[in-house]
Amino acid sequence: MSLPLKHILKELETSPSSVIPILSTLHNNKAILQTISKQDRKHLVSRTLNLTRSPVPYNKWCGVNILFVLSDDYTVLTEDGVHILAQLIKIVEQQSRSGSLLASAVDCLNKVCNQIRGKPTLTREILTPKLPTIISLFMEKLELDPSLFIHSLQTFMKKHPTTFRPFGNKLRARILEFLNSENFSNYPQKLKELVYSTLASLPVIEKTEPEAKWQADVQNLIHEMVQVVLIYREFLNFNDDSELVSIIQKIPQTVGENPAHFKALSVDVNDTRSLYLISERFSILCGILSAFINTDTSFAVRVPMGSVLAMCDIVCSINSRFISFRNDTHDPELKSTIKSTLTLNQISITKLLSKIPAMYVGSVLPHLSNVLSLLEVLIPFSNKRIDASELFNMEQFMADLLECVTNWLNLTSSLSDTTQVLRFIEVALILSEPQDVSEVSSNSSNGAQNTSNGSGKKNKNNKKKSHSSVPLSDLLSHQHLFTSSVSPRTVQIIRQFINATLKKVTIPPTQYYKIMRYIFVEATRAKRYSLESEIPVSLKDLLVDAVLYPGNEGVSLLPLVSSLLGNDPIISVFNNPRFPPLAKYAKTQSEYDIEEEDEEENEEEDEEEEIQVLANDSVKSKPNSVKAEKLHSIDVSAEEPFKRQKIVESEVTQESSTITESIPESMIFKRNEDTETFVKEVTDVVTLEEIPPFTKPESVTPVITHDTSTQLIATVEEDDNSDFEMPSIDVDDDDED
Amino acid sequence: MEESVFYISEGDPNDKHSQESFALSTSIHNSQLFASFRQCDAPQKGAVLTGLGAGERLFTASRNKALLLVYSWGKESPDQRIPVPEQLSCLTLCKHPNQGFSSANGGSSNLPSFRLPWLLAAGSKSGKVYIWELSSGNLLCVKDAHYQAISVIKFSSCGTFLVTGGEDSRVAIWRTLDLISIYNKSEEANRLASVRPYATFTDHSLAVSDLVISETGILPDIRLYTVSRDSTLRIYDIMTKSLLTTFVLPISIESITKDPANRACYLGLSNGLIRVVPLYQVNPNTSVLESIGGCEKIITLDHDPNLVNTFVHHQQSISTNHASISVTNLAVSMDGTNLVSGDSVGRVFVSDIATKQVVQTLKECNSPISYIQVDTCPVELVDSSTAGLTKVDKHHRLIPPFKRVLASSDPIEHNLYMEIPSAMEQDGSSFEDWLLQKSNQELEYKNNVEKVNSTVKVIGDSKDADRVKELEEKLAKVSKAYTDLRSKHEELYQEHQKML
Repeated sequence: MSLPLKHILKELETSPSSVIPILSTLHNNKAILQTISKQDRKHLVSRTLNLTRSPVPYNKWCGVNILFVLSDDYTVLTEDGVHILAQLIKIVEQQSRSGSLLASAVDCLNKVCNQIRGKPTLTREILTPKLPTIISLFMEKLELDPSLFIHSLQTFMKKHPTTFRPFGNKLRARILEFLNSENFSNYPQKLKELVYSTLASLPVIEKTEPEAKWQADVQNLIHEMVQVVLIYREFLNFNDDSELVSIIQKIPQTVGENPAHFKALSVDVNDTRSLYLISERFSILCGILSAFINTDTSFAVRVPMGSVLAMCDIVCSINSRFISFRNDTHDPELKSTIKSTLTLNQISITKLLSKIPAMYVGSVLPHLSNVLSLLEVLIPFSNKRIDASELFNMEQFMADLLECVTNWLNLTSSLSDTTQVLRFIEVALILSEPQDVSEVSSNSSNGAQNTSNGSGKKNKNNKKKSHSSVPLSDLLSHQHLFTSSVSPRTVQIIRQFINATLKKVTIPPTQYYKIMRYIFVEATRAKRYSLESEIPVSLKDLLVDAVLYPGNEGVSLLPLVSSLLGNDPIISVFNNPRFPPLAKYAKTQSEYDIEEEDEEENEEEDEEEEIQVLANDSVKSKPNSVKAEKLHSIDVSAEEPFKRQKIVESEVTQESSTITESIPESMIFKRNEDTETFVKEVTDVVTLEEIPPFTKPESVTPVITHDTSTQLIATVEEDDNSDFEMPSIDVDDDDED
Repeated sequence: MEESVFYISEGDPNDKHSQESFALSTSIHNSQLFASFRQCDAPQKGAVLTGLGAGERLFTASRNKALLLVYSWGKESPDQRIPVPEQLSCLTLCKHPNQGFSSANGGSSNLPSFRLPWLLAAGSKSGKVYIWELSSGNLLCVKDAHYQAISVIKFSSCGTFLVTGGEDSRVAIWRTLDLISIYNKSEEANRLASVRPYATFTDHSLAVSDLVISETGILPDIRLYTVSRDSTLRIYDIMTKSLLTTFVLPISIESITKDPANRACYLGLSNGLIRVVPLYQVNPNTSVLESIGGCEKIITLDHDPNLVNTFVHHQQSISTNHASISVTNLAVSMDGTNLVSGDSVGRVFVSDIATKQVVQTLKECNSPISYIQVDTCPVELVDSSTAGLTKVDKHHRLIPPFKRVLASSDPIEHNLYMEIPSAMEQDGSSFEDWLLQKSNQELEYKNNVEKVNSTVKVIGDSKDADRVKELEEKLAKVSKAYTDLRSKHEELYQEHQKML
């Protein structure tokens, strides 16, 4: 649908009834703006600008969006770019609350700037003079729509570092204000990430040596993080772990006079909330560090990867499992609070670690085994066994952990030390099993009963019992409804993790069996429950990889997978193995002749009935295939075709041309309907002559005998039910004799 | 798309300062020259190019000094001369391993202007293997690998294995991770000494001259092809550490390359012939396509009088003063139809594999060709008119110098010098999405137009009314107070009058 220009101009005169068709026309119908007369264009732009000046918000909004589309056109930008920019700035200035108008105006402003950017004259004339105004305006309005403005400011900062320089400190101050605001940790994740990445890109505006500033920032950040976790020294005996102490001492001190991002924390042991502040702050610092090492820099920087990983090591080592509480910390509630804040820190660290491999790939590979062992520490244990119930309580965390391990495993194509991932495989297997809710709830209700029994008030107790037995009745009668399994995200992560281990690790038989069982049971279930008999992609990948990377099992999984995934192209390649097609080179004259003859034969044969072909009439009439004809006549009449054939072959006296002649003929009988395939077969045979054997005749024969087990017949396989398959078998039999 | 061949020669021994040596990167298909490097030579297999276009580098081992030279694409003279512990004999690079990160993490990264491969491995005359991490310059590994000089060193395409071939006729396969895990806490102090090769093959009886490793699709498929002066080509399965096939040729082999689809090998011989070794063949007796070899078979390849599998162009047109010419280096084009070959007198030919005819003769060097590399890239990257726009200043171009002593095993000292790449923009937000968003917003306007206006009015009115009310009240109060006061005054006045 496309509106005529006249109609658009008329609509724009007053408030347009709907702006959508106009927008779509102006964008899709490129011809309108290309062929527009100068006057019409003037009208179009001035009317649009008029709309944006209207006091009615809807008209304003329409005008802004039409400008958005118009800014695609270079001529509009050159002629009216100044006005458009000025008007947009004015609109943003006027807004005092967030909404679609503000968002549209800022979007449009960004787009216009984007369009102008990179074109030297336009930038010099239009954009550069306005930039400071825009930047300070955005800074001023930051609160109205933080994500929108921070994102825009970040773009300006990266594209115009010089112009942005005077605003750098101001922006930094604003961002720190954000970070220090009380409920920053409850902000939407996206906004948080934007804030972090903006902070991380700030060094780009440094005039001299931005890389030095970047490095100092990162170093200070790591230092600050370590300072935060050192608070735990007040509760735990760090001296239990001498290694921990030595790593802490190695972390480099702050550089320069960079102020810390946060003011000092005040922690009150009696105030649980203040203890959680530690992990909140730590998680923010982790976010900033993650942004620093993942946000693009336009210059080469020195990344202190060693310190980053050492810091991770410190956080994972501060674990109440290995370090005892200090004597003055004996309140069980305080202890459990500290434990849970430690877990929160570990969650933040896992997220940070998870992002490192994708960016630093090989460079962090030397750390692989260290990282795996420090991640292994995070798995909950009780009595030297993995604590399954704790595992389900921390499902999110465990999923993050497995994801992190998967990312690190992806760095290598094979891991020699299997023991490093065994624990994680166990975790994945436990998580993949459905959990019986009834068990858990009955346990807890039993517990409740026990305590209430202890209170000794029988009446109340009975009442309570009857009250709580209402949901319990369902539990007993419909037990199958009460199995819960992990979330889809966790399932996805588990499958990715299993996939990675299948490819890279030689899994011990017990675990391998469990994994295979899981895969096949899940795949069968998924297939059965879907109308289209579809297996989800993640399971499909697992099934294919189970075939591609067979474990130590003697039994092949191919039949199992084939029956589940018969239509999969890769499985099909397995079931119908083939050699690479050989190059076919330009043919010599004689080869052309052969092919022509073959084609003739083919045509004739198409006309005739199959039986007639069998009678060999047409072939007999060929003068140059006398020997072949002889071969066939003997073959057909003979009682013992195998031996006869052998005789004939010796008669042929190894004349390769005759042999090749005989083959197309045998083909004729097999394929009388498929002319195209036939021709292809013939040319295949021709290549045989192209690449004559370079070995001595005596060395060729053993090749054939030995190969009977390994070599696969690709070309004539389909002709199983043909009578004329005999010759090919014949040779083999002969050799075995 | 452009396909380029890079070649470099050994350098004339009489030319001490390599004044006459050069290396070129030219098109395979036409006569276009992409880049040239001056004063540039390298021992056999002692050079490696990271790629084509601005931002790429050439590493060469110095011919007679313990030096490594680094050239930047687009700059003819060496950028950096890095001293190394001893004179190097061969080099290879390892790209960063990529195991499907881009798909797992929702998008790949843009190419940063400063970029480096992961590792540079070198073999030395004394049989040692050196591995440097390029982004830190750290020397991660020094390992006595062979009893004599290492003649060829290569990484598998996945980076999992490093394969070295030596003059001592051995081939050693190493797990890269074993060699470089210097930060592994659990292992003893003398870590490197305890690293054993993943496999060692001692089947060759003379120096190993070249080797090639098949690409890693899945790890169990990886094959190693080694050739030696003992006139044999041996094919190994790396994962099972077993010899699959031995081909015996009539004359010693100097170089090898293979078809990209593993259909054939091409061997450069010491008499100037290039021999094709097909790995699949139609059996003339059964007309069945068969693979050749396997099961430790030994296959003897005789002289090929009909020249069906032989390229002869290096033997032809020899001037009389060259006693013998050997084919020192080979490479195959991307589509597997062209063979690039360099010989011991410095000639480089591009020939068509099907017809065995020379297609192009490249500029001749004055000494044996020591390395050939074929690469493809988009046209604009090597086009001199556009490629020059992205010049990087020296400060941001130089790579961290290589350390001459082993890096510290303390992980905390691991610093990486790199440019963090930006994520590739996802082209997710189309105009249609934008339009959809706008139509939603329009709907909001249309639906709210009355409500919003009326509420705005109400808010405004009520506010004013409040104020008016307040003021009225105030006024009433004041006027009441005034009238009260007035009446009081009147009252008092009248009383006063009465008293008078």
